[in-house]
Amino acid sequence: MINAEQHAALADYLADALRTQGPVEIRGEGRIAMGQSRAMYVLDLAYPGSSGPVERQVVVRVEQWGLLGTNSRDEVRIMQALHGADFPVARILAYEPSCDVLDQPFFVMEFVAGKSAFDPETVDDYVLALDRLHGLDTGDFDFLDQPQEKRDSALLQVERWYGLYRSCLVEEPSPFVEEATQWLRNHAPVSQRVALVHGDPGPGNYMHADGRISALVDWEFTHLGDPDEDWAYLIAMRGAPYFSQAEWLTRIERLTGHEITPERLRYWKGLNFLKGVAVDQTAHRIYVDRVVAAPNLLAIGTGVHLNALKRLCETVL
Amino acid sequence: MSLPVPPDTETILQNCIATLRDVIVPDAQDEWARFNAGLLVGALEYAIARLGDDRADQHRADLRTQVDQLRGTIEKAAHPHAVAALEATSPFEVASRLLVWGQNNPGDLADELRRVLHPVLYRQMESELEAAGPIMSAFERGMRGRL
Repeated sequence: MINAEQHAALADYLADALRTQGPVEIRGEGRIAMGQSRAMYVLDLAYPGSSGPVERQVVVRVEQWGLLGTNSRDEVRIMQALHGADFPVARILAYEPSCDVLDQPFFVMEFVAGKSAFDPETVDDYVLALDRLHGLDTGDFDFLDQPQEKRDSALLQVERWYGLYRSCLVEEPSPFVEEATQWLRNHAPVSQRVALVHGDPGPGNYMHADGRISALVDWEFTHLGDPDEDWAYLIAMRGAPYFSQAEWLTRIERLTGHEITPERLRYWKGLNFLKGVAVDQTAHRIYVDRVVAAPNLLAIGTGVHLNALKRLCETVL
Repeated sequence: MSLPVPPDTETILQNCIATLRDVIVPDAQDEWARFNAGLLVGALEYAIARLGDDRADQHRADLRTQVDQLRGTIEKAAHPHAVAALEATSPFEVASRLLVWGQNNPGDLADELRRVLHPVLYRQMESELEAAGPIMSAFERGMRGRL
């Protein structure tokens, strides 16, 4: 949790960032248990505004010493660009790249009301929103790595996640990870187009209220790549508990006209499982190095990691 | 020593689990605290299962046996990179290099490498998954909001 000293520093920071007319009082603070990649706090704020007293909620999203191998800088720029494109994301209110206030970089965003639990009423709208994301002008995201060749959308991701895995290795490598990575290199498909890819899409990563989508969340894995990476992730990961693979494929095709071949689905599922293996490995490293003692890292670094590895093996080996 | 026979480690850890489960978890008001308390029960159960049982060493020994079984076949086939893979110290390193070689060189030797190495690696993965069961259950309960 945020300690007393950090509380005071954060209140001063927020007063400055939100351009208040006086000091900010943090009246309530709760850490959200659901998010694992960042520490997420919902803060109840009170402060004098330009037209009277203000009470509002904001969300503070704090990096966790490299957990899951992503950074806030790109996440913030992506969310700002999406907000500019009128895409449903929370508005960024402030970004602090230093470790001066909370020991880690963090950003502050508007609180978006809603629930993230699976909702059959909004799932079609979500599929359409994801399809719309894939159709956005990638020129607005030129700060991200650009795939140059037609197999780069796959190969850049393979090397990104394999590199992360190797950098966080604890003792020896897993032969299965090494073999599956080589399979993914050898079978990298040609991509027909480059799109903005969410990277972690599906139920749980969008908010909805009153039958409408209020925001898509968790943009730390977003990159330029192949849209099938997202569809495969939705089908095999976040969406798997709710519809079968065949049902998802039918739904996606019906709503977007996009057809995914079995070969491509197999490949991108495998890539996503490698991603899972790699990001979970960061938790193992951080836990055994005693950088963060929280037991969720032990769970992610062991069972969650092994589940992803098992699915990777079942998919490609 | 005032205690001629101190309580054994497993008893202490089991009692910590019981206290966490029966006292701390039900009373934890904050969502994050409750999530962590539940996970600590799973983490301690995971740790207890390792007391006196170094599974990592056992996995290395089992894999080394399989690698040794392949050594003659690999040396007879005389593919330089496959032979060079045998020089690594750790059996996990050897198996990694051999299986990557197999992906790049399909054929009889690659099939043989997978036939011998995959079963032991799958067994190890399954046994580690089973060992992680308690902490995974706690994690999944927390992620579903059942704290």
